[in-house]
Amino acid sequence: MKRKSLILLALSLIFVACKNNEESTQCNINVNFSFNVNRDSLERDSMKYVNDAGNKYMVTDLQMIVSKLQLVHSDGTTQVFDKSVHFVDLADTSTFTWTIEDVPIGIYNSIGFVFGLDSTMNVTGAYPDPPINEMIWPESLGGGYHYLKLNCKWLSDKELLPLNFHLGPEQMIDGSDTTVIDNSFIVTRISDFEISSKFENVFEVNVDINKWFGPTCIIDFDKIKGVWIMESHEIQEMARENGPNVFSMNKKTVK
Amino acid sequence: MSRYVEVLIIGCLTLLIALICVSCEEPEKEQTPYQFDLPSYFPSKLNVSDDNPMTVEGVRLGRHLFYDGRLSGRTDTDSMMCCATCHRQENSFDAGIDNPLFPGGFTHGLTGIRTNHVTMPLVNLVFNHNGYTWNGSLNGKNPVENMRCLEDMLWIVITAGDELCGDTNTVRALFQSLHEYSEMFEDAFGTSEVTVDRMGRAIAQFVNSIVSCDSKFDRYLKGEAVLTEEELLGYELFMTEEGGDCFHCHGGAANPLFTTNKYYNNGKDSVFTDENDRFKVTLREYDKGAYRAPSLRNLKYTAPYMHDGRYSTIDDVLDFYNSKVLNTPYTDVLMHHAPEGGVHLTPHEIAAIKSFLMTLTDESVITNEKYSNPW
Ligand code: HEC
Ligand code: HEC
Repeated sequence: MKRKSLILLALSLIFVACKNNEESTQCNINVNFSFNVNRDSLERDSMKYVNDAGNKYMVTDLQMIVSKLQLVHSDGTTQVFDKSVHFVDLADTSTFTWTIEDVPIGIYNSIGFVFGLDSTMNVTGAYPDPPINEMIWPESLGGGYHYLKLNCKWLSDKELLPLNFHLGPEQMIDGSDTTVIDNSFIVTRISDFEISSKFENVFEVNVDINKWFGPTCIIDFDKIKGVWIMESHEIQEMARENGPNVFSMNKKTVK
Repeated sequence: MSRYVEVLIIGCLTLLIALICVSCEEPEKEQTPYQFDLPSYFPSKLNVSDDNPMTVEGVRLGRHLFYDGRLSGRTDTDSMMCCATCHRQENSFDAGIDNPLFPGGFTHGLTGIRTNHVTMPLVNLVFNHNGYTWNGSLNGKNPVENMRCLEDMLWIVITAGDELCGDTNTVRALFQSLHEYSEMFEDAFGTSEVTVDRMGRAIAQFVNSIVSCDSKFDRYLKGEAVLTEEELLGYELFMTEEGGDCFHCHGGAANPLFTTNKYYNNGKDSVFTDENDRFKVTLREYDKGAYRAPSLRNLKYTAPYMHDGRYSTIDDVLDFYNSKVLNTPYTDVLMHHAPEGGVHLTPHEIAAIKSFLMTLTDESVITNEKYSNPW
């Protein structure tokens, strides 16, 4: 039994080697995330950031989910990698790179991905394995997963207070309002580019943390003191307004 | 055909021949892969070392070793100690507050030296990818090479002054001389030669086989049981920010391990004197006073609670979360009722959370013969 499988393994190695000979029509792309505040690289645990409302804060943890990488081909067709999901954790630099495999080479007009999970993917229990299972979102708020956990401490009248800026699909806990605020959105970058196996295909995503709190909708920590963000329609909606400004995407030129 | 492919094919053929040769030398005995029977909502990503795949034979050997007092390297009854001395099945593989050997559940090693912390239950560890022990020092990135994986635990336990306080050569020689083991080693590893490395692998396989997925709450998730109104209220409170706000660290239906296995400071202290906290591993200032969040399965059997066993009842723990939480710079942000000192629920609501926690009791861990003393 064991011997047979070893022979099979060796044979399949030969197979794989031969297949590589054909001119490759697919390749991998890497999406690299970096976290910043006004262009400076984000420093964890450092009480040096000030938002548009003037609140002084630091970031202790950040976890987020991105998904459904999509590419628009020059002929107008869209290629959606609808199973692709990636978890990014500020505490673990190995999560900063999201690799998408088997992307058809060619000329494209735009690239995008979903911040969070759209409603087709955001189903309770869909991701039972760690690390995504630590992102669970209460069933009574619609279930599924947190899109973002941005954990901060901020200084109010010299007292240090926690701020859990947690985003996800939100509905009223007591059932009084069943509209779901889904603050997932698509981050896109538009302009022609080539995906090719001749060079590394790298896209850089800058995440400017401070832009979650303004300027489109100013989120003043002092005013939302005592509000449970996960349960607040209002704050989830403000985050949806601010979100698109948080992300910016570039293609890296690699020789 | 390109030169590249030629080289590859020649390489593969050489490999093929080599593999056939190697497989010819393999012993005739084959091991049976160990299978888990897990509910669909459970994680499927297992933390099993590539070079120590779980087999029925390996788990069987590991179980015998886990329960063998001669692991201490001694054979007189007073000097016997093994994993099961401190990790008892009747306590969900924790020491237990009612342990006759260790009053209050505070364990010590063979020579009487107290362990740094209280024990941890050995349940669902196969789903933990975040390091072992309260501070996670046993992890894949530990600079010390033999303190990285579950397989290393035996070596650590044998030599630790606060545990078996023995030496590996004596233990190896002793187990080589025990005839009852030669066939088990042969079955598990294809050789009757005893090494501490093989012993450690077998024990890791057994520990990894201990799974809890049959509590009342599991049966509720499988549609085989209903929760009472009180239990449902407790679950609701457990899962909401304005309620008990427990789920960020302790999971829920979609994380049925009831822990994230991550490290947090849950706001018990303002001065940190324990040298073996998470800070020791990460050297991150805000990891002072942080420990791995334990699973909340089988709390009924795992008192005393917290790394230092400071609470002896679940009521004490809930009382702490309700009104005794400290808002220090070190308190984790996820404890975001800390500025008010706790979640401030009513006695009725606290009772509901407790009822819910009791639905995580899994008697099958306590009674399953697969995990019991084989001697
Ligand atoms: C003297 C009592 C004692 C003995 C004997 C003992 N342990 Fe432990 N064990 C502990 C204590 C105490 C801890 C918690 C250590 C810490 O974090 O400070 C622990 C922790 C562990 C953990 C980490 C669990 C987790 O969730 O991270 C594992 C695994 C473990 N022990 C396995 C074993 C094995 C296997 C043996 C036998 C080879 C064994 N122990 C023998 C007391 C003991
Ligand atoms: C910030 C994360 C966090 C939150 C929120 C949290 N816990 Fe914990 N919990 C922990 C950590 C960390 C420990 C272990 C601390 C230690 O050992 O010192 C723990 C320990 C416990 C224990 C003791 C378990 C044992 O075996 O020792 C219980 C019971 C418990 N928590 C229940 C709860 C309940 C109920 C809630 C909600 C009211 C809650 N926790 C909220 C992180 C958290």
